[in-house]
Amino acid sequence: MIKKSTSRGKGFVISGILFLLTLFLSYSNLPLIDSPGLMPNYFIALFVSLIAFRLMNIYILFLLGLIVDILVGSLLGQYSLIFVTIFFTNYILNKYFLLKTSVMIVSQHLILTTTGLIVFLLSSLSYELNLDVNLFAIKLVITCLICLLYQRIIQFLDEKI
Amino acid sequence: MKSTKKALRLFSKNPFPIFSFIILLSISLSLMGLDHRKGIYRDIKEKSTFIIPPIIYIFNIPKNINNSLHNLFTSKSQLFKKNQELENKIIDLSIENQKLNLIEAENTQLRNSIRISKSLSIDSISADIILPNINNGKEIILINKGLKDGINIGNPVINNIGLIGQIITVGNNFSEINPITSKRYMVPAIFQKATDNVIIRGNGSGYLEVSMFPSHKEVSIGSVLMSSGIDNTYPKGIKIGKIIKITPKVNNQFNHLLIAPFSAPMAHSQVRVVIGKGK
Repeated sequence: MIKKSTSRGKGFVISGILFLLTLFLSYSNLPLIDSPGLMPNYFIALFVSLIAFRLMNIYILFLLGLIVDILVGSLLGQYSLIFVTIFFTNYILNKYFLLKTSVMIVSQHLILTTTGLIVFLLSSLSYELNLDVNLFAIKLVITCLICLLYQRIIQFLDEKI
Repeated sequence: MKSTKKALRLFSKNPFPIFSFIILLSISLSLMGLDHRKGIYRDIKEKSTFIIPPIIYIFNIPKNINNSLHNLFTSKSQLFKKNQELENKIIDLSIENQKLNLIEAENTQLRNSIRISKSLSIDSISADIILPNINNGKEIILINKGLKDGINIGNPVINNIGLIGQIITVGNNFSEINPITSKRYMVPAIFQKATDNVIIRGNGSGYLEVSMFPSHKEVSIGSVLMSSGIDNTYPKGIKIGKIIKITPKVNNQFNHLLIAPFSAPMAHSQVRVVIGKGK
């Protein structure tokens, strides 16, 4: 079970550290997952973890979305839309379900990541006529794994800071 | 009534964010629409050129150091071998060039005799690749020339092997290239035998493709595709790639053509940006 009690200052520090880490990962190509089709969406993974951990409110998320758009995006407002949608989905999940066990938490992350990637796919500019479902599935799985890794890092930092 | 509403909020004590959600969703969608029509993002990016390239550069320092060290310790014998290969290539190319000079002279004479004034010559400038990179799943190449050197958005980028991509962002001293293999890239092309015109697009995984090529038209593996020039953006006759796989679509009325690009932009250090069509 995840403890979700983080002070505002602590949350700010954790989010800042992870934001820089994510920026680094987005700009550098790690071996094995350096193909553009396979590369996980690190920012969606990070914000799913932060939202699931309830470290941010919807307005800050919107503003951070705009910053992410300028830094790594290709369409202004795209990441803001994604983060706001993830936030809302998380709110609905928490409203109707009591997420206590690790399996529930993993399912929550999977649902939020899928929502984020679907919104990303729908709002992206590309000339694709057909969606490569297999590639999308692999990307989803890798993003979800990165998301769980972020969750562990947040927990670790929350205990240490 | 108020208490009933409160009771419905089962596990959450926070106020329901539907109003904020709708407002922010509307703002995001409006921004996206505005950006798509007016190009706000492009303007912001052009004005923030002093922030983003240094960040990319700093984050890629470890990788660049690794590459530099690898190049530094390349053995002398390998360099000697490469030098010999290049010298042989120069000899081959100069022989080829002599033939081409003759052909060009004949071509000019023929053009004059039938009064065709259109020329295939192009104005281009040379640029160094600063960073070939994959940025958040998008392939981006940064070069060290920009507005000051006469580069504009939309200029094609080529090298001695073939087409590399197109300029998508220009700063004063740098430009971003969208490589041909990117999902956001399309180019009108023609088969080398001048049989059919097609539109080629990048598939985001290092290759190009033609999604729907009529199955009644003849095509074979190994066929070479080059730019057709009908868009007045790309010069005619620049090599793009060759077909490596033909897959029939489900209804058998179309074939899917997979194309391997001739130039691997990530493997070169110099490119040429076409800035005009010449005389």
